[in-house]
Amino acid sequence: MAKVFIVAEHRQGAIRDATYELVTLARELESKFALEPAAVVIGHGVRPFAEVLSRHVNETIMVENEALADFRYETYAAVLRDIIMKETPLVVLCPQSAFGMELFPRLSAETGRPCATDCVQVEMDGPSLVVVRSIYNGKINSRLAFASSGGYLITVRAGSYAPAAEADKAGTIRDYPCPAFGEPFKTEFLGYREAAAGTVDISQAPFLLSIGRGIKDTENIPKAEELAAKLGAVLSCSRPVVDKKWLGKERQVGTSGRTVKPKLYLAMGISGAFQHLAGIKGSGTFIAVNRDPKAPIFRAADYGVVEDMFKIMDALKEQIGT
Amino acid sequence: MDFELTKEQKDIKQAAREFAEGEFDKDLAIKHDKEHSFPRSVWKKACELGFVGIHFPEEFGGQGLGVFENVLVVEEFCRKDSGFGTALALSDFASEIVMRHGSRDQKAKYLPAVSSGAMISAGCFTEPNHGSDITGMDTAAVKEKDGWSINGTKTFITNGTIADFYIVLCQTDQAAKPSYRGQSLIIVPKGASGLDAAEVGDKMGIRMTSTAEVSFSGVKVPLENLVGEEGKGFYHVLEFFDESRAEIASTAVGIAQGAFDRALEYSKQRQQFGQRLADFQATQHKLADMATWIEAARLLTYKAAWNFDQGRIDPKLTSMAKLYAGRTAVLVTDEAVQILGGYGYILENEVERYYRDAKITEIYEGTKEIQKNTIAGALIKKK
Amino acid sequence: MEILVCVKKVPDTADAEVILRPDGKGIKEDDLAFGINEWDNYAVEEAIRIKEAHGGRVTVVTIGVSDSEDVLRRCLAMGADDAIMIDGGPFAGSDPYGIARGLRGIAAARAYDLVLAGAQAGDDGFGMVGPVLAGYLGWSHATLVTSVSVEDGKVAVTRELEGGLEERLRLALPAVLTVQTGINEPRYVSIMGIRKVRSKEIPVLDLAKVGLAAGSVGENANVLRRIALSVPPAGKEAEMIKGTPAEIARKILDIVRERGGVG
Ligand SMILES: Cc1cc2nc3c(=O)[nH]c(=O)nc-3n(C[C@H](O)[C@H](O)[C@H](O)COP(=O)(O)OP(=O)(O)OC[C@H]3O[C@@H](n4cnc5c(N)ncnc54)[C@H](O)[C@@H]3O)c2cc1C
Ligand SMILES: Cc1cc2nc3c(=O)[nH]c(=O)nc-3n(C[C@H](O)[C@H](O)[C@H](O)COP(=O)(O)OP(=O)(O)OC[C@H]3O[C@@H](n4cnc5c(N)ncnc54)[C@H](O)[C@@H]3O)c2cc1C
Repeated sequence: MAKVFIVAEHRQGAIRDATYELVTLARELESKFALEPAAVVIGHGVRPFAEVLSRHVNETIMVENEALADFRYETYAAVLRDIIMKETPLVVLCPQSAFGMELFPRLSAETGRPCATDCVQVEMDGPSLVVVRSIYNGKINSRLAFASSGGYLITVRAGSYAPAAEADKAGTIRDYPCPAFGEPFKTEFLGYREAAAGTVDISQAPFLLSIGRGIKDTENIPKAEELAAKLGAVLSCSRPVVDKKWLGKERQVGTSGRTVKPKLYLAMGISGAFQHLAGIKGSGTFIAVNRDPKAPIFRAADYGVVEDMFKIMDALKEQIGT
Repeated sequence: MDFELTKEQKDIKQAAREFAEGEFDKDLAIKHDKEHSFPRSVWKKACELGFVGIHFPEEFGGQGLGVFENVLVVEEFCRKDSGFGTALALSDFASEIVMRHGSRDQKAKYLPAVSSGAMISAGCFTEPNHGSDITGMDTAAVKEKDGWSINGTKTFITNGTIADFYIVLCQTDQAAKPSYRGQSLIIVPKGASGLDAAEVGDKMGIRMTSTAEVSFSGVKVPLENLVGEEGKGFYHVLEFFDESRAEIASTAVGIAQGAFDRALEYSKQRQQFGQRLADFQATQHKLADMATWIEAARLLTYKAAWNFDQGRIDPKLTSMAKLYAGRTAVLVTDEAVQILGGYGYILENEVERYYRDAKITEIYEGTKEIQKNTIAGALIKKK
Repeated sequence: MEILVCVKKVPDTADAEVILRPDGKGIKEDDLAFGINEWDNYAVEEAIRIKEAHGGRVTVVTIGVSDSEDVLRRCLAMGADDAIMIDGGPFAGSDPYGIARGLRGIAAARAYDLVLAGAQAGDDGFGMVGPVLAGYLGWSHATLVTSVSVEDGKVAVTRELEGGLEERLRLALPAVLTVQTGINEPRYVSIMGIRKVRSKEIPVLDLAKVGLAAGSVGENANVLRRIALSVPPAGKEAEMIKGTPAEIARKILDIVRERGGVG
């Protein structure tokens, strides 16, 4: 039976949530296309992770080695190369994340196995794999097939599949020998750096007013601040607003910013890129204001307003007054 | 015949657009417009990047390019924002007179300062009693042994209260017949004793620029402040108009295009009677007219600028460009407000400001009637 | 430091209507504004800053047809020293592997210390070209780079991880770095810059010059085959609030109050 491998992503002592989304996908490939799921856990001191995953899949391949303590593409790709060669899985899955983006394209170049990144849907078409990718700012879906059928490397966009609930399978853990590395290494891990803690903690706010590139200029930030104050909301934003240094990094919502869970999320001038939406998955009511009726954010929001955000901001300010 | 911009010209247009998009903020524009203030920090940045004085010689701090390239920059600036665009385009107003007719020392003193953002210039031609007709000036300069002594009042002077130097058209020979043969241009620096400038008051448009009455009461400047030839001031000014009218025409084209862009976008969004405004044939015809006028105005303006860069003076052509572009700006901004309906009438939606900023292009640098006189004069004489 | 920066011209689709071509194989491009990929612009700026601090040369390269030349000239005007165009004709429809193979020819042939690219492109968002290129070359790489500091024979970088976390790495040179937005503040193009590059020749290299055989790249040589494009299915749609801004504001406030906000 053809196999589908999940490469578990973990960092700083915890399995990352995206891994469980891959479990769901692998299960789906199992039930629909009869692929056999297995997990791959690479690292140092990762037995607990392997144990967790062994409750989800029949087999968990564990590669345990001191040199694997910190993720580097160099060592992880070497391990995966070895596993892929010997175990010949048909599909290897990994999250589209800083981990997956660093690792899988490189692994693809080194193994010659084709890689499709940032997929939102993965399925089989007969013996071949077919994926869907979301492109042009989420406005178009692109269906891709592969020229060869000898095996695929796939990274999956966060939020494309629901995370698997707790499970209680009694899967096995297989200790897989760590291959020898072709030292000296070209990369060296130096450490983590926490983003400077800001003055606000948007992750705890019950009500967020969130602004995106639509705010257009730093000059308009005070308007948004004023409205947030009037609404009793905390101001947050999408990434471009931080990139342009209009607001501090501590206010950024999304994969590379904070994950938030407000009761109410009011987004203005944000297009709805998945990296942004991934940060508000657990939110309550979600209202989006965007002047583009086709903006992808309307596919995620509960309520939508197609209007110039500045008009809505002004109207809100007035209405609160009365 | 080649209607294609060179690569360099395309790059310049793109650079001007990127700068305008990055710096011309709508709210800042509204603030300057309300407060009647000059956008100093944005102007400085534009100077640092070489946009101001792009047509000055390299030797004097410029970029050694032509009026044509200046026109491309000004058009892009005004397209993004009619207010910032006009204010920046006029920040070096009349410096061209120094560039074309000034002495080496004058060029070295003023042109690099203007292009680098250290100085703002003003050109003083209009007087309370002499607007369209500047063939005789009440402002008189008397040649004394140690310098010129100037008395008189100029009005509607762009940059009047913020300029670092003034290029003043004076009557230097009261007896000359016809009187314009007795006019000369003289530079008066900021702070000269007897020089005074006061804003003329709130105005309809181009409110980011200063427009002032400038008076000269016994102002003394050295003899070497004469620009060009004594007695040739009037001719120098007419020649200057030949390039400045192309520049004003380009502000008009940019203003028209900017208003059009906004109207087009709005017409595709706004729904009435179950369809987009853009789906009404009445709107479509408006848009078609607007786009056609703009294209025609642009071509005339480009040709006038290009012709000047070929070293040819053709007042008929520059007058046609300014006449047509000015008309286009006024008509197009009017229709743009119309397409936006009530929203168009509100400050927040920009086209209202474009509409107000457009009108001046039919007035200064020669009213549209004066442009027609020039065109007609050339036509009839040539017969 | 000899630095190669890979850039690409892409349509701006964030703020625009994206319409499928009737054949479903691509999008209508006529009404879209094209410009340098946002990530690449940061990469070019970063390369120029490294050069300004440590000396060396910056070369920008694109695989494109003649209408991409303006993007290269733009980079030159910002301060890059050289530009190379690889004739994009044979690359039409290429997947990231084809592109990386084209770039390999350039990177390998000259003694670059660093290759910079954008972390991804705003159109198809693969984020693959940089690390695949590094894999082909056998060079070290880092993706999603948010700072670069050059050391002796090495570079120290930070990579952006999730949740505001970054990691610090040191890489042996030569290396390929893919740059994340926000790493710097890209400068405007100045007229002086444009003039400086006005007579700069931009060589156009054909397939043979980058060491590739005819037919080795382009749509037919793709590993990743585009079957069809489509507009994403409607799925869950937001409930639309309509009316004048004042009416909309009132309804938003109703929802806010329902959720316990604003007194
Ligand atoms: C590795 C990686 C990590 C990332 N992490 C994050 C992250 O954590 N958070 C994040 O947000 N992004 C992140 N991004 C970036 C993400 O891909 C998008 O580029 C980003 O979210 C876009 O932000 P935006 O929606 O504000 O801007 P855009 O996509 O440019 O959208 C602006 C929107 O505003 C609308 N608009 C413009 N003017 C108005 C107006 N006057 N009124 C109403 N609407 C208006 C437009 O129609 C448009 O839809 C990441 C990217 C990468 C590659
Ligand atoms: C905002 C602003 C900025 C300005 N900046 C400057 C500046 O920097 N420097 C400067 O010197 N001046 C400047 N001016 C002055 C401008 O050039 C004059 O206002 C213009 O030349 C018209 O002169 P006038 O206002 O005296 O009108 P008039 O000359 O009194 O004209 C009034 C009307 O009569 C018409 N008219 C006059 N003569 C004829 C004719 N022969 N045939 C047909 N119709 C005729 C005119 O077209 C106009 O419609 C500025 C004006 C404004 C409003």
